Amino acid sequence: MLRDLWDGLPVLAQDVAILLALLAPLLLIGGFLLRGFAPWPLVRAVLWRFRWANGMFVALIAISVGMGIGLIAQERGLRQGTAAAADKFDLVVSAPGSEMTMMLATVFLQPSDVPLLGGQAYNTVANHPNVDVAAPLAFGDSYDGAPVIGTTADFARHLSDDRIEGRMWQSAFEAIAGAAAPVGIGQTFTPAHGMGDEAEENAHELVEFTVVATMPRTGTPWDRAILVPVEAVWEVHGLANGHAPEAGDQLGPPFDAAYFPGTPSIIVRAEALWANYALRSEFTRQNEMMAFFPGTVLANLYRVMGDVRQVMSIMSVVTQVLVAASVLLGLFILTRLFRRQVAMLRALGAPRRFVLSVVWSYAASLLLAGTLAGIAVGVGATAAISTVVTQRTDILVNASLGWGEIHLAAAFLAATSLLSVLPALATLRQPVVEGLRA
Amino acid sequence: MIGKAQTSSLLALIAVLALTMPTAAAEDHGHAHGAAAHDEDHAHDDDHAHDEDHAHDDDHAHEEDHGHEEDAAHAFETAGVKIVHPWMNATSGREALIFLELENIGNGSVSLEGAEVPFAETATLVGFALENGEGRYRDLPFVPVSPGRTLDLAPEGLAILASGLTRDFTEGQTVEITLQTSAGKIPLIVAVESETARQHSHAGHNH
Repeated sequence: MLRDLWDGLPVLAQDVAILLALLAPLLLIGGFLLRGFAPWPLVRAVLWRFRWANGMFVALIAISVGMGIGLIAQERGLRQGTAAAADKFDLVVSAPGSEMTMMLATVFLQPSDVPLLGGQAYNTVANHPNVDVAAPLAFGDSYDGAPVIGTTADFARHLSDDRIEGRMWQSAFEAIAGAAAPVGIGQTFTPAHGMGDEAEENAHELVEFTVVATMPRTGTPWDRAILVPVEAVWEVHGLANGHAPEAGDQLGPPFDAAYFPGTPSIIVRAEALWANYALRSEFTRQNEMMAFFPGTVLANLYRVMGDVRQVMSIMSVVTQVLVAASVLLGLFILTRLFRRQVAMLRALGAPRRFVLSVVWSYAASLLLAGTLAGIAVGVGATAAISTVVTQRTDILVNASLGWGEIHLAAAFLAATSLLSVLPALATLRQPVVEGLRA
Repeated sequence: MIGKAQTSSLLALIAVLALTMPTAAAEDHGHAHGAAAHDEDHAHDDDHAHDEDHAHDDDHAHEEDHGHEEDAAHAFETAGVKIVHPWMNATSGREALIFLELENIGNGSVSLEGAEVPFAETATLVGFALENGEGRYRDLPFVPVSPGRTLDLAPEGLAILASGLTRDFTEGQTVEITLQTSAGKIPLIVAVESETARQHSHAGHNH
């Protein structure tokens, strides 16, 4: 019954309920200790009097909480960023081999030498009644570090959600640049053969592409890419251009199997959700071709990452326990610092619960300040790291504060605040007379 | 389904509760168990034809309690459809995914439409997709399979999602379900693998 009720709640309600449950013991003990008292002027005075020691404490807690939070937030940011990069790639058909290699090549534009699919295979895919878009890709060339990729107009529209600025290419040597590509509309470029340091600058000397459009930013590695008609890439490499000679300057499908030089992968898009799964079984043919969902490959990767994350989470929990222990120890020492003041209070006839409330409020204030600062440290660190990752990989990684982090922080705060009742109790055990002499 | 982040925060919550209110936590536990047991009792009352606990229904050839696991078949064939290696993970939760391989060995297209799962409230054909970095299983109406092709139901892919489970499942058990296809209904015996298994323990064998 309870389980059904819980499962029936919206996710937000579940998250809020967990947070409240985590903070409840804190509020209960606070309410019990503080009821009817106003210890704040005294607490403020103690906080100010020992501000350096207190500051160190808060910083220590902040860094430990921040580490834990940063870890969870960064992992989620990376996961969401990489998953978003695969959004446009429902199903990929390629020659049999490693799904991971092909996924990296197509979704993240990290091409490696892979076998090609021939014209027959391409036509089998393209002519299937459930297939709406079947885009061949041609990798290998680059310009100024940006990959130049041959494909079809349909794929360019699909990739940009049909929001191309400028016009679609009308001849083989026109190009569409990604938002982060080093060329803009109206500019011309000559692609180099290959990528990176090994690129041969002069291999395609006589070829010049003109950029006629740009695509909006997608937050994926494709932002750096320059798309050109696949026919142009084939022609530049001295291959047939996918069409019979009598087809003239035709661009895009249908392709003639006899003049199809081959493609490392075909991006397949189907309108109906179920069709993707049917097509996967359709195009999985031993020794001929394979079909895979980049999302599934990524999910498997996340599963491995999840295991690593759990190990790291345990490490960060252990760190926090250690910090909590040292906080406790520190509080014992700090309470010795104002031993005389406490003895004075008690000599003046302050009730035990009042003394307890002062010492506990002081400890809880340090913990609360440290935890809040820790959340800020965690988000700040995540934002900084995410910016670097986004710059280096073009994968948009957002730093955001999720419920997992808030729960972690709340659990830390609740547990340490409860434990800090112990040093508060310890101050009560100190004899008043000795305290006054101290 | 409960995500990993939620699980860890739940653990944190339990830790805090355990620290502070051991008695209250224990009480909660008792309640949860009580509720589960209650549900099971209901399942027994109902007339579930394929319930394993009704082992005395003699007309069911593949009762779990008969200890037929050794000779339980891993391949099932009906009307041009061959099902190989149906399996699920052991669970005490409310949901389970059932996986299998469906081979179309006939001459016409066959659609997988769903399943009748006697130990669950609902059973639907679902497909995996990443949404915002989190995996989701979305309902699918059917998936057609051409002659000579195999449809793979596997983790992070296609599956039969059984929700509202009426009992727990432990490794080594077998359970009966009926697959619904356009070629007719196919009764199957599903092997329960470990909680963390990623495939049928006989995967890779030829049947």
